Amino acid sequence: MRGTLIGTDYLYQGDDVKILEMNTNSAIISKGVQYLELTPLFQRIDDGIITEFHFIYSEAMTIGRDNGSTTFLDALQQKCDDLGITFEKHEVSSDAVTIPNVEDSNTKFVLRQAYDASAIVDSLYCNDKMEFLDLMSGSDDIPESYYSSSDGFFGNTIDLNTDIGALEPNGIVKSRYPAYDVEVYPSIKRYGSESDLTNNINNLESEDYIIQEFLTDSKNFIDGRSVVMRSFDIIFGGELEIIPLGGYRMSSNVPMSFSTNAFEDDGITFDSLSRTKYITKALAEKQKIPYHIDLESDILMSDGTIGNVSTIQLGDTIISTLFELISGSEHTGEPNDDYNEHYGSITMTTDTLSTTGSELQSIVSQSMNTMFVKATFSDNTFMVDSPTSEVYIKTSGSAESTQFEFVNKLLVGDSIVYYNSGSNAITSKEITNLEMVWQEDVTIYNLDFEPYDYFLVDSKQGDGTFGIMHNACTYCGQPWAPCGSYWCDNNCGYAGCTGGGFGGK
Amino acid sequence: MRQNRTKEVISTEIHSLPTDDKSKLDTIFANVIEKIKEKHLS
Repeated sequence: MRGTLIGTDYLYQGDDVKILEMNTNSAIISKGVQYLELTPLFQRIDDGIITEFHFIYSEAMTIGRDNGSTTFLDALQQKCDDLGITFEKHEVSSDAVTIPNVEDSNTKFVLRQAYDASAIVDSLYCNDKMEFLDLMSGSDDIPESYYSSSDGFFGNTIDLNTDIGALEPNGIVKSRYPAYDVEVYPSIKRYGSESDLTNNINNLESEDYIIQEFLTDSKNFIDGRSVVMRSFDIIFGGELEIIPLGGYRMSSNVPMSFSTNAFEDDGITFDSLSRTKYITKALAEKQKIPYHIDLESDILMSDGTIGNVSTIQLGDTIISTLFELISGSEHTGEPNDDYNEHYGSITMTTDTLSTTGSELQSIVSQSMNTMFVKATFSDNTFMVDSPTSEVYIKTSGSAESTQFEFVNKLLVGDSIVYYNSGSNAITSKEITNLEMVWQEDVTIYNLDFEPYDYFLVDSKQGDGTFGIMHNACTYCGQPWAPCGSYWCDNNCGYAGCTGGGFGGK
Repeated sequence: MRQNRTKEVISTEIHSLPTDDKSKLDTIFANVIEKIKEKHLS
């Protein structure tokens, strides 16, 4: 028996609920798994006949969005283990449009959480919003919409609502297909009049865009953030029977109070920051590159000079620190399977510290408007860095413990560990506040230094200190570290991963 | 031991579905599937 997991997004409009879209490669956020109800699924398949559960899943959707979390996959496996059903995983890449062939039989349940272009639900109603709107035309279950295409789709049910605040949205432009510029779409609008709407219709980027009413009901906000309802259902069998799994509400990353809504020059399009407050996609989904530093980052070069990230060249050599860690060190020479750890101590760092050269092997950049993290220190200085940068810290509440950590996961009380290029000393500075800061037109970079992954970024404190940053490992070709560690090292044993320490290993 | 952290500075917040209206979502999804069946299975 085959089943397909479908994630569906909904918003309120008064007492009614409207369906926005549905997807077969819909991400399940690990924090939301607690709200899913798997019992109906396993009641259905625990019939004494099914002995094998095959789970076909998109790597990015299932375990890539949550820093490697496998909560949903683990929950399925645990249920199977409890029932004595064999659980087999079939992972497909995030951009796969087909799935591996798993032969069906009465003894198997094959669940798919991945896109399959050969399936009608996927290719028509998940992949193509006009097909979906056409399917649902005449129904009160969808928002008022405008769409028109040369392949025969047309609808216009928008009854423009201008009886709302001048800074509140009343329209949204979406791409017909999943591949679109996430820096622009969905584009949120405040049409002041019918003519604004008409002008926008006449000036859509192409016929591959639709306009819908924006559903601004107060029930679409929780704790000052916009939320979308996402439910999960499994359809299975020839008659498309439904097994509802429940769902959760997912908020935007940014509260509405973060800024006052503002517009682009056209006077109807919400600017990038205002738009972000209404978007519930995870921050990482905007980023095409997984790890980065920004244009402000100055790096300590091997000759003791400071090189800016914008001018550093392939083959340039930088200074890399060497020090032992308690677990996960690439410099101990000892294979270590515990790549999620990567922790140490201040004493060990200081006692084993030395420096060496490491060469720039690759550099990738991307310009974007995005949210960064501002960390303020006890002396009122601060650093602003990207949430996915990885820095060496002394952990909150400890005088000794150190680890590499994502900037987005820093805590008040953590201390950034610095290397002083003049004295070779290790110092640290405690974080007293953490907050989001918006960055316009910031250029972010993904750098890969080899053979040693640590590089030193000027703290800009004027005292010769440098933060210790870590490469991301992408030697398996995946940006989300399927081995479970963004700082895996040269002994990583994950299948397909050649390790972050030595390129081409 | 490494401190494993779940709290994030920039983060999506997750809430349960509204209990009273969960059935509305189920009904709409069933309507969609019914339309797909009408179009492709009948």
